[in-house]
Amino acid sequence: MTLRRRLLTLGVPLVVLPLAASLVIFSMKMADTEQGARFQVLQAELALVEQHVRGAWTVLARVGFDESEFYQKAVSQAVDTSLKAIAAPSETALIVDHTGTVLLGPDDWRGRKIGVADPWHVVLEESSGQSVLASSRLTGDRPYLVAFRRFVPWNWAMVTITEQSLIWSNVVQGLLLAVAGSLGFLALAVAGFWLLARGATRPVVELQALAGRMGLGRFDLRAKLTGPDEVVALAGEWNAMAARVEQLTAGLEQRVDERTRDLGAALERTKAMQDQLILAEKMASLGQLVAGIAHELNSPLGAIESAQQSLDELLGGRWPVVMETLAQLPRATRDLLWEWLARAAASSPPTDSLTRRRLRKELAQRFTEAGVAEPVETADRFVDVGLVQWETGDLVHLAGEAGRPLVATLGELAQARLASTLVGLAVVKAERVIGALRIYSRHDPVREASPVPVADSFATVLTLLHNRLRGKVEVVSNLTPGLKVRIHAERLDQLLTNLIGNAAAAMDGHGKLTLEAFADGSTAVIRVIDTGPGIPEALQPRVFTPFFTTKKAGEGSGLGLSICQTIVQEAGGTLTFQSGPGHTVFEARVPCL
Amino acid sequence: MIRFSFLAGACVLLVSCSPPPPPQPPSVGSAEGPVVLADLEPTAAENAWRLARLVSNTPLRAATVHVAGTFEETPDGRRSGLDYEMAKDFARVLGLGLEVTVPHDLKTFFSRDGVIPKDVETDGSVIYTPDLLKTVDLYIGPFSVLPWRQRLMTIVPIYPMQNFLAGRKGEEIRGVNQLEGKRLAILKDSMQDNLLHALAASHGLTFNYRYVRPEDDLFAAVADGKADYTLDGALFFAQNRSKMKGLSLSPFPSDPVRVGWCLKKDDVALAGLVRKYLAKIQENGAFVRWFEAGFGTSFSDYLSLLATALGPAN
Repeated sequence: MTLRRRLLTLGVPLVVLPLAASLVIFSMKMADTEQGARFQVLQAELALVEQHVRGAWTVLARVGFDESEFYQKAVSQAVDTSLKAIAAPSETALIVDHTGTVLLGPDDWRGRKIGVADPWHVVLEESSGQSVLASSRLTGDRPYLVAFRRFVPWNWAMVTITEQSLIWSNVVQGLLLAVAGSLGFLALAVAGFWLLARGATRPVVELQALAGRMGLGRFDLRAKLTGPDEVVALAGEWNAMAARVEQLTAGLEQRVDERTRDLGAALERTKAMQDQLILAEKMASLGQLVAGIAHELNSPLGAIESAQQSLDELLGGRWPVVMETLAQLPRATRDLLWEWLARAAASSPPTDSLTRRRLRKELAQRFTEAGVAEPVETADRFVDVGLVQWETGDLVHLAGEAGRPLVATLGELAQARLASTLVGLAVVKAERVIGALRIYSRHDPVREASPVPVADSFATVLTLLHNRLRGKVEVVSNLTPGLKVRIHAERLDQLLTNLIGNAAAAMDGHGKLTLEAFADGSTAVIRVIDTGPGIPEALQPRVFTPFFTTKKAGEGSGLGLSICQTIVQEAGGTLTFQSGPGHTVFEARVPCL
Repeated sequence: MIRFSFLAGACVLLVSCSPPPPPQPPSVGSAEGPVVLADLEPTAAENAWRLARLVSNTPLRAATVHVAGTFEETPDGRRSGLDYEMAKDFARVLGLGLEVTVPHDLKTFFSRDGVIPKDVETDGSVIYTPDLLKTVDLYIGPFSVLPWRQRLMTIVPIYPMQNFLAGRKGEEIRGVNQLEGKRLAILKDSMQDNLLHALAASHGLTFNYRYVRPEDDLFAAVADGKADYTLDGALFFAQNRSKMKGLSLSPFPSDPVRVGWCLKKDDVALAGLVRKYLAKIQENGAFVRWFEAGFGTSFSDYLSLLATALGPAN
């Protein structure tokens, strides 16, 4: 049950019941009072009648008219006139003479002889005193209130009568008026209680609604400081509590925000670290794989290299024997062959097919003109041997029957040596790549920083990123020799790989890449400078944000620079950048040795 | 000596103190119609008196004075008034004519050989029939029943009367001593003059008399401050209540008196007829009707006024 309804339920009966009880008590009291007052009025009227009669009697007695029936009637008439002026319409005044005849009274009473059978006779008989209250049911069921007084000189019975119902009618009329007034008062009371209850409960209801809104997080709302003092006090306390809650909530929200940001940052860092760990793990696996592959390739490459050296030594060792054998030949033949072999040894067969085709065509032409058999095939063999710069006569001579087997042998030897040379070059190149891979993928399980030559890391990274820097990218290195920093070597490689890789991507095959490393006091300054378009200013604040990237999906993880920053920070340094249109400078400052 | 207007305004006090009651039909007496001779049940002597008058063709001879309400006569000879109406009706009942004599001098009513004996009021042995009464059958009018008059005449009382003092409002007389040193406007040698002198003598009071002429306005004298009170009969005040603005009445501290008609001492038959006639007209309501017609107030109101003035409270 609401407070308002409870107030109405309790308040209205509190008004109605006392009011009804008061009305009943008041009516009962009024009835008694009215009856008593009416009786007093009747007595007063009787007193007035008696005074009037006595005065008239005195006058008449003094002049000797008191026994005159005429004057007695005249006196009763005079009293009647006076009484009519003062008596209430509901009252009846009678003067009954000594014979029982009504001298004074209403027309239906006047002249009436009140005999023994008349109900009023009882009253007249019983009323021997000067004043009596006779309340009896004289006629039917209508009780009367009767005041009685006897005037002895004339033996008159003076009676004033009023019906009790008339008395009660006044009371009932008053009661009805009081009830009507009470109903009006009740209506006012109900309205008043309703207004009172509304006034008393509205602040509470508002507080309730306010509490509901406060429960939804509206701590900024405040209760109105209106209504009864208690409610105002309650609203004041409520507002104070809401203010405290708001303050606490705001602090809590701020702390939650801070914690959320911290957690977010931590989560990002954790994720970055996780990615970094994953990447590191991947790189470790890749390193192991590369190391394994390099190890596996190293053996065949060693065998190849060994075989190539053996072949080279063999061919080189056989060549003096050939020369010695040739020395046994006739001088002219020997000189000629010697010269030819010298030329052949001095020249290198062309390696590109276009040159070879052009030389073969020219030489075939000259052999054809000299009448050498199978000029095209002979030209192919001479080109393979490298005998293309000789005089045509010499070449024709060698192409003859006498020189053809030698040429063929020499040609084969030359081809073998050339192949050996090519194999040697290839092996060296392969070994260099594998060495770089091994260095890059090396993994130090101790994970402690160690002095790392900066130039070595640059060399390693440049070797690996050789393909991405091809084209029209000019690489300028200004590296202080012997500059070392204390860092995990693989971290430095990763740092340089990311920075140089980003620079290469930014320049997109065109531009100048400047690499600098020098000591600034106890700090090693490492710079990677590119001539790319630069980083847009709006994006610069987010450069180090994990997972931020301007590359297409799948081309970049957005972790590169974040990892770089982490690497430098873990090394006790700082990583900064400065970028503008046409240039971007990344500068890492780490302690140097 | 008698102010016949003495009775005139007896009910003025009642009228001035309460709203005038609605006109009431005369209820005192019966409505049995005019009195006839048989109603009087005349005795042999009374019949003889009447027959003698009829035989001699002598009307009923009455003497009276011009007093408002009692006997009034207009310039064209039309007469009215309570006493006149009663006398006329009484003559009718007797079958006689009525002859009314109106002397100019009030002393005429009581004089003997033209004068009133000085000791007539005090000397009980002075008994005579007034000169005028020897020539008329009766005096009709409100003649006060006084002892000395009863030695001279037979007086048939008709109704009581009382004197009142008229003074300015707020100066009502509650006791005799309040009259000490007051200026009283009255007619010299009137009954009121005699009453005041008697009252002064009996109570040791001193009054300042302001004698006025009959044509003077007594109420104006009091209202203008030339006098403090004037004394007259209640009926006089009733008839002149329109002149009493600003004035109120106080009962005069004296016993009421009866007023009535006077006859010769030896005219017993006529006296009997008069008494029976008066009883009849009181009984049949004629008296109260003529009373109200003559004085402008009902007889019951007049009695109420007297009762109020002379009741136990006084």
